[in-house]
Amino acid sequence: MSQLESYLPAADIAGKQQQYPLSVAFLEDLIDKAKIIFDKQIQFLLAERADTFWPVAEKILQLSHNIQADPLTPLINFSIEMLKQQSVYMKSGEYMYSVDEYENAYDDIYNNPDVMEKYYLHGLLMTHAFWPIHLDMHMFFENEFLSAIPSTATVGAEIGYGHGLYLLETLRHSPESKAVGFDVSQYALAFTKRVLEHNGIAPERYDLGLGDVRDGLPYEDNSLDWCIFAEVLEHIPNPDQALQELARCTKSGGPIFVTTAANNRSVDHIWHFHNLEEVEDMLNRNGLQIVKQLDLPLSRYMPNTTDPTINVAYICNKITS
Amino acid sequence: MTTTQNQLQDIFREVFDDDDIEISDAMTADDLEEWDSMMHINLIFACEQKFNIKFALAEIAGLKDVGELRRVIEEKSA
Repeated sequence: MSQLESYLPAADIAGKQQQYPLSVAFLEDLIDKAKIIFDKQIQFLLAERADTFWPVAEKILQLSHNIQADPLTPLINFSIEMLKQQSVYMKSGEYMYSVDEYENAYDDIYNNPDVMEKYYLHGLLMTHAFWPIHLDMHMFFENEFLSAIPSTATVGAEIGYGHGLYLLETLRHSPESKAVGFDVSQYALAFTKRVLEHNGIAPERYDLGLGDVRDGLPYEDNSLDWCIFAEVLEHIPNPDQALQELARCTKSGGPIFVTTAANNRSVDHIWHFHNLEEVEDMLNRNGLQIVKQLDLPLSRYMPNTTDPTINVAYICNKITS
Repeated sequence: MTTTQNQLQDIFREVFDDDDIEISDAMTADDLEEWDSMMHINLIFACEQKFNIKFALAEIAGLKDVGELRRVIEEKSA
């Protein structure tokens, strides 16, 4: 008997199997290996996000297949590690490391192949289909950011590209664009190059390296047509300076995609936003105006939760005087 | 009830803040509305502390019912 039968009528499963074979097989495995962790999410995704979930899951699983990496264990392990951290946060109200302890996060996570290669990068990539909040953020990226990239765009950047999904989608969407960018992790660089290389992006279309945002951005003023700064703000000790640099380097009117999270402890979150006003003040005082915004409080997805996590995504433009 | 089961029942009552919970080996998350992923992690932390054991990630994810949780605890405590 299909594990999915407790979520979908048998007649529907056959149809989904035809259209989304990778997703059906993956869900079967996920329910078998980790039902207790994903039960509520799967219920939500299949009931409330079926239109977006199925095609996005199939696309991300195809991407995984193309890089010949197992997507199941990384997603499970990443999810459990994040739940453990948030469980501690709900008792302590504190993050694991302070802004003065960035080097600890670097050593524990970004420079640690046992974390980055074994589950972190691929697990985080998978959450963009299999965590309802990240799926919604991902759709906001596709619907609002990609459509805001000018057709004349020739070069953009992602700072802290991590798993490479957003770069891949931007380069697919904007065929005249090239991408530059850096990440602090050698493992993120290798993973992202694999994602791009094995998913149809010609190597001459990207120039990615290693770098530290504390050193600023190595790009000319007003040189970038678009910028992606996703899930970086809460990871760095100098978010104000980094945002000023984004504003400096991006052209007037060029879309800047920024995401972060408040009240969300992770193995590597060091900047503790307590509410979205703090994030918005930070954007504004560093030269960015919010054009569009998607607030994603966990309570919207789980009405009975006491977990105060709020994810948020913005499309910004630089403020021009 | 075995000793482990008794201790486990106390943990469930404390974690779910409900003194009326009666656990059984066959009980699953489907039988307890509040037993979601976060409460599962809270349960695991409470068990790790009470029995002085550590669960592997695959064990945390793969537990199907209270009986399996009890058996894993007993194996690790032996």
